[in-house]
Amino acid sequence: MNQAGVNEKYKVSPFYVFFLVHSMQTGIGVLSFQRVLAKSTGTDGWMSILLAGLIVHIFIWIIYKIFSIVPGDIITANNQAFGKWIGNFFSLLFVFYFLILGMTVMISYINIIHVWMFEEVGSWAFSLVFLILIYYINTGGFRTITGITFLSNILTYWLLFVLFYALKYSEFTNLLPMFTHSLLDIMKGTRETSLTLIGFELILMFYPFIKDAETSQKYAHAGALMTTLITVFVYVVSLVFYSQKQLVLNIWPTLTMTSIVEFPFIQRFEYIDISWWAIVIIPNMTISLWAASRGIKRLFNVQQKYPLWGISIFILLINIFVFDIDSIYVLNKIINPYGVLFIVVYLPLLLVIIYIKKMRNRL
Amino acid sequence: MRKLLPAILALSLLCSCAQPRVVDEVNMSQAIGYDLIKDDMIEGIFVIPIFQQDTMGKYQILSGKSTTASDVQAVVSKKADKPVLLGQTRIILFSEEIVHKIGITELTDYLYRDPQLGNRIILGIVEGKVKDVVNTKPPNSNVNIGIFLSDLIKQQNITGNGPDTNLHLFLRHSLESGGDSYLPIIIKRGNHVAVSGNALFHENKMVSKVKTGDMFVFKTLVQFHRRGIYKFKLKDKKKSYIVVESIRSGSNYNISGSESQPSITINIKINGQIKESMRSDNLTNREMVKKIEHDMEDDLTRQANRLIAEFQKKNIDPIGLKEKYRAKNKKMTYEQWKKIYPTMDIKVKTKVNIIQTGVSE
Repeated sequence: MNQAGVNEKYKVSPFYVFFLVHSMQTGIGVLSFQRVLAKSTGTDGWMSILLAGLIVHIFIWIIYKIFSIVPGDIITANNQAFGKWIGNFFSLLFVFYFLILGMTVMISYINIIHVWMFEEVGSWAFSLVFLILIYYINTGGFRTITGITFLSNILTYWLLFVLFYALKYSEFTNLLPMFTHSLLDIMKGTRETSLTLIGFELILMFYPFIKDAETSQKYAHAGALMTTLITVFVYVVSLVFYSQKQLVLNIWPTLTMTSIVEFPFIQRFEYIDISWWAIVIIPNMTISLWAASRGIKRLFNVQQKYPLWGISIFILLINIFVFDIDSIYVLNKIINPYGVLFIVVYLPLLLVIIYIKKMRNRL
Repeated sequence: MRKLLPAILALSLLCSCAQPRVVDEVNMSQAIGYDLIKDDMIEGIFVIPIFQQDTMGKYQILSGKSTTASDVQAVVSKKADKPVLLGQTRIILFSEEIVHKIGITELTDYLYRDPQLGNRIILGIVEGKVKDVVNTKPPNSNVNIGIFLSDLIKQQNITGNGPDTNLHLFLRHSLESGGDSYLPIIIKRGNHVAVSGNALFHENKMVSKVKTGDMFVFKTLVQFHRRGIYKFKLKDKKKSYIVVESIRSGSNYNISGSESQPSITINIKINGQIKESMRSDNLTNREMVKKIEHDMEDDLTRQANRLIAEFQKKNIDPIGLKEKYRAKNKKMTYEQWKKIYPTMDIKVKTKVNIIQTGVSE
């Protein structure tokens, strides 16, 4: 069946869902989530991450369940459930959400470059380069995006091993005492980690682009599991590397941690780490903006490049006229709690409605 | 290809966006020292290498006065032909006086905030004026005084009796509430500089010192180590010296969780080899080695007990017993710890294993 009008030749193998999900989830969040998490849960934060990971798995299951009933993307599902007008309204909300997601990643990264490396270069210069790159990748279609995602994963995996270097300066008693926080604290911590683990919901848009999409569920779960494990690992390393007060003091604990690394041929390793991080976040931005523009394409029946132009210019203007730290403040507020809440409340609701409709049709 | 072209063209936009920082066009400071002059005025001293062909170790020293640690950099840049940048700084020295008057937390805030400075920077406390230490000519003329001092402290930490130290490790301990930490002390004696003991900090104030002679015991209490030299007197008529080099040493802690009678047992374990014995006994004789082990255990236990009693009297905890105690007693707060620590029952048990005695009898 030709789901949501996607030609067979534009589809990717189900295996790549692993990289798409994992890569979308790991981005800017993993650089800084430790601080807020340590504030609420301290040494028990890893439980919050595991709990959040579990919730992500439940949501992946929900998404695949929705699509097993309504093959297509979120826009088809919305229309099926709510009819054309209300359905399109919710679809627009999703488009807006994806746009905010991509924008947050880009502006957060520009902020990092500003603080750590080039404080004097304007945001517009970085965003212009990123936007042109994103546009270029996007014109290649979804297969190209998947290729870039795969490549970015392969090229950045070694960054994980840099953290082992930090273990040399670690104090393992910092992991103790365990189980000192109440269930409420841990739930609160789960909310704080949500920013690191979101990204899986992009499946909602690229589902029709997967060959034999039903078989890709296990890869989606594997990708989410990988992210959860990496997040736990990063958190545990941060706990043993920093003391609690120090961890709360650091805005980007993961980056500060890499500044302890020294090689005979390179004194300041964190600059490599920060630059390399661009490769991590390129798929993040690309997929989000692709999803946003594709949403507009599907809703208004225009060529995808026009919304992409519009979005790019919008982001560029924001970068020219608003300081990155101000826009990050607003964007983070939108994503957490409103964006996360939207996903968490809306998707189960959608599943229930679609399920009820299906049952009624059968009767 | 038509799409690729604008992308490539756009990259050229970035080329001149950032200020270039070429090594030859900046003053790259490799050591910074802070002295207190009068009335909260800080004097910052920067050691800057001069790169010339065929000569090594040439350097200049620039200094400037201001009221804050970061502003000194701007003041100094005003006096130099090139801007002073901190990216390659290896060591930062504070005089004892400035730490007393201003406080170490206040001084390190800037160092930790500025991304130019790495986490691996070594901090050192100078007895007397930093200026005198920095103006000393290093015995090895191939390096400047900044590199010389940082290498000196580094090699002492790796092969000698100095405990590991850098900005990150220092702040890890001292940022905690009631945090106690330590830094190496550098002093100038005659024409040369040397490491001499450790300065102990409580929160932001320097409160005590560990003498050079106690550094081996201190290092063993604080961390696991593979090198270190301990000298002691044998308890017999001749009272001759024995020198033992540690191979694998460290300590672990047994903490009793009882609320009413908290106690900690520190088990020091030394695996070492005899480096020198100033007597003519046969050291291949196991009996003799056993006696040396036993006497060294006694001596170490006595030293460790004395050090810990001193710490307890001053209510400082550079060994980090607080964290270890908290790991067992979840509900402990710092206020409680402050009350129980001075009278806490802390036992030291020492086990020395002499693994080898060298190549001669």
